[in-house]
Amino acid sequence: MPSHRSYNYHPSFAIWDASMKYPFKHYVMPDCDRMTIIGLFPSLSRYVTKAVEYFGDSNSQILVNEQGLLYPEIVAALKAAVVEKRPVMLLGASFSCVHLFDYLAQHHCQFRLPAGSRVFDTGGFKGQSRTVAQQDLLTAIADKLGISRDYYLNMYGMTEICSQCYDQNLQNIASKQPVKYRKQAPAWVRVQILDPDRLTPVPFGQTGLVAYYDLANWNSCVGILTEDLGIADETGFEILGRVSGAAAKGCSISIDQLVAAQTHKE
Amino acid sequence: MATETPLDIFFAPEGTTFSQFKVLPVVADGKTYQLRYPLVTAEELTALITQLHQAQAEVLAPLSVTALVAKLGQAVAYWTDPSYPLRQLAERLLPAITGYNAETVRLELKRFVRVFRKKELQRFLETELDQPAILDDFHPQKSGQLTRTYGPETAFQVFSGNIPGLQIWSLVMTTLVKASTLGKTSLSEPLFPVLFIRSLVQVDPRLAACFAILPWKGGTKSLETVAARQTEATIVYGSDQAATSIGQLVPLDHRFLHYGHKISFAMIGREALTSDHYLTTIKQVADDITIYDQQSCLSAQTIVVEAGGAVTPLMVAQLLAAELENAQLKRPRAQLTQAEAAALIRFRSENDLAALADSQLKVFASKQSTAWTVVYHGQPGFAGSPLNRTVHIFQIPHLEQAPTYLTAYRPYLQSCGLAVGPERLLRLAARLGQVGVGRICALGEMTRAQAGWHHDGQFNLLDLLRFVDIEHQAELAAEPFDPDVE
Amino acid sequence: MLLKQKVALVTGSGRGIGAAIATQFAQEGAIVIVNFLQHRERAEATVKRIREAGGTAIALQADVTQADEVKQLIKQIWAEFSGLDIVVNNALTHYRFDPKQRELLTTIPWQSYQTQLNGSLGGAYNVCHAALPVMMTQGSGRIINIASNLVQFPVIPYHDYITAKAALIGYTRSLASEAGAYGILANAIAPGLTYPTDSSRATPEDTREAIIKLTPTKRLTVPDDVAGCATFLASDLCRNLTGQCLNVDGGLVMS
Repeated sequence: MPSHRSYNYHPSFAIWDASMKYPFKHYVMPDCDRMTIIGLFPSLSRYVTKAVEYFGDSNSQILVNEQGLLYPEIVAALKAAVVEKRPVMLLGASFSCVHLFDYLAQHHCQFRLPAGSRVFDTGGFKGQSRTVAQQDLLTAIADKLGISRDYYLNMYGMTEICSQCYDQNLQNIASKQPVKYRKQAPAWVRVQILDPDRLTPVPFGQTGLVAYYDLANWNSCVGILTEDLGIADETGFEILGRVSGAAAKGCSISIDQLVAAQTHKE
Repeated sequence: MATETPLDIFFAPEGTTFSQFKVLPVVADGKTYQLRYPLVTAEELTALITQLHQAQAEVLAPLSVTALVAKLGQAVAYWTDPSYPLRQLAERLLPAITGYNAETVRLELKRFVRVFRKKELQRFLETELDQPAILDDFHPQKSGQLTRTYGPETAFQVFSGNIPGLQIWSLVMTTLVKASTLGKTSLSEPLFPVLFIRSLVQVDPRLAACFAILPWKGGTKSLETVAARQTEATIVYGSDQAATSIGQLVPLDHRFLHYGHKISFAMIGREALTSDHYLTTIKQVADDITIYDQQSCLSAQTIVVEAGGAVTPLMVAQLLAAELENAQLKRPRAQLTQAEAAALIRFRSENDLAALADSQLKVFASKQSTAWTVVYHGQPGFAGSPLNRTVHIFQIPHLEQAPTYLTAYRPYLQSCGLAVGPERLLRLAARLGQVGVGRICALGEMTRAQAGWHHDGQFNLLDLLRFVDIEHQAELAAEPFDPDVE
Repeated sequence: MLLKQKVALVTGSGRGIGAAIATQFAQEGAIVIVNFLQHRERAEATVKRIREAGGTAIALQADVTQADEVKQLIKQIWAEFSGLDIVVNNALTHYRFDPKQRELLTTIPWQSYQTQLNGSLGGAYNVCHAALPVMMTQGSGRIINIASNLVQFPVIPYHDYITAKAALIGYTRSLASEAGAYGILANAIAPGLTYPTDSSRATPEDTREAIIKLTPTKRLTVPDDVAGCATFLASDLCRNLTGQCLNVDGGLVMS
């Protein structure tokens, strides 16, 4: 399938900003008001910019440009944080985190970041099973940055909608609840896991397609049926990755191949 | 507790040893079958192929083609008997393994085996060889020479798992040319070829040494390298990617045949849509889509419908939708994987969205599930479908215009179910042949290729054979050396 | 609810049997189009009753004997509701069931037959002709034609009326036999003498008593009896049943 870039047009940013700010505070910064944020991705730039604006201290910076991650600057920023005993938040796309850890491994860099430091990522891992990739990432975070599983969290969001969902572990810790890792949605968002064949809700514990209802998206489309596979229980939900392209079982040519054949012809 | 029945879903000559096995439980009719297959290693495979070579020389090579036809025909004859225990086992297990409707499996299996009855085997042979006896001996040709032909000693066959039983098409062909077989099955249907070989062994126990059928994960280089190098012919059913990856492993001087992914379609002329014919026509189209949920490359993905009949192309779409809804009651579609279902949901959403902007586009879809989908296009065209009872209908003013829309798909075109009057049949067939179609068939029969069909436009037997000629001069030159010559 | 979100057109439903059907359909969750010819106030009253009970209905005027008006009606329904699931052909040219005034074979003019045919059969034809393409696109639909048990048992031979209703039953059957392939079911209901309605008000006491005497349930049919049967035929309780004519007459006719 040809790749498709998504846009979402907002008549005003007031609701977008509000829907970003409060869940971010609740799930990402439940224990402090501002900290050093190191931004590693440019793509959802409004998100990162607003995160820094609302929650970053004066040391916060976005260390990525068109060429990619600014590795030496990132290393310098981390070093400074260690020296000054200032907790930092690394905020990036999952794959940029992977690149960063590759770099740190290559250059034999290892940090013990100050208590309260956290890694916050979003997005998935192309071509790899999510659970395996996430496990590798967690190992690297502990090994290279000295950050435990409890201080890693992942956000689920997309261009087509306004509001984001977050892992709840930091919120659990701050409110002295048993730590759970599944995602929670803000009050104005509902996530339903649907049977892909019937598009009806499945019971807890069964996998299905994620349907995302976001009232903050009032101006375009409140409900979105994604192609993400998810699973939910009473504590929240978890994203298992993208539903894989349905490979034809047999000798019938797949629709993708046909599309490819025709575009080639044209 | 239900009883557990062990069942081997592989076949190997007696004396073969495997170090490791895996077991796959399948529940059919309340009974759990433990399907067992070996996790074969490259060394074990090498040993197997050596055995197959030896058996070919000892058992298959000395058999006359007439004897082989008789033995294969006898094995097939067993399968035409509804009380044959292996047939009953297949009828019980295949729906559970594949998810296909049990009645479809029962009906289609018996229809399929009939393609290989003794008289049909002769049809296969004599369609391609004027003198099948040249498989046994040198025989004089009209040109003067003496000719004999040899098949490969051992053939490595990569079967697909989409359609139950389909594997025996190539299995029977290679056996007719006296090749022993190393068959790699797919776990989505590993059973039928194994059962068929068991029938053949029932006819002649010596044949057991000539077949090894077993599954492994497609793309396992270590195994496929051994299989491709140590056999004389490799036959692959599957995607272009699969074929390319195995093809690279086949030495240049070995035979390599590939039956790739294909697309089939139907064309309905206005003469098949008169008020007395249209209902039959619709029923036949629905059958072509329902049988094995379009997983066969012979199933229609697009229906091109000519305007000007008593029912319009749009009405054909509506009637087909209603017929597919009925089919869901009669022969429900297989349960889909999440990925397959999501592909159908995506296909529907894309077309629903497109329909908002195009009043000529209409989506008819089952309401409770993804059971069936018909997308009607008000203009001529051609498109692939995500299968599982999903079909496009394109309206066209004149069927004669259809080939224009097919050219982009040339490498993939295969069967065309064609419903037109006799005077248009040959004319349209010629045009379709020109753009790459390899089989013109009746509606309702699309999924059932007949004996002697040029499989994907190729030969069934000839492509496996190499020919040896004794020139007439050599024959004459030999004469003087006869001590008794005058 | 048996007809949740179904769009139903009931012709001639300002009063009598039609009004009872419209009301019951609405109770079962249908969106009801109350079609009328002349008496807007009665149709509006039916709609009002339905709405007060929490149902959804609108009144739309159309003369079902006029193809153009019917086409317009169906177009309007499509524009408003994007569908049409149920059609009840109930409208008829006004008829007085008065045994004392009925015309005899020797005097009845062809025009009387023609008028009844136009009303019963012509109206049903016009409505079905316009509604079928919509139902075919939906892949489903229910057509219910209101006939009469007099066709089977002409207790009193109202020649023109009975002939037209017999034609309507024939039409129902042949329609059912072709429309079935599109997932559309067509059936008829043959009520017995339904009392009280405008048409039957003229039927005198002694005739009514005579009919009751012959009727196993010992009563006449009321509009709600017919409505119940129509609701069944329109609902998903009724599946794979088509081309039938159900007698709702207390068992007076058994077939």
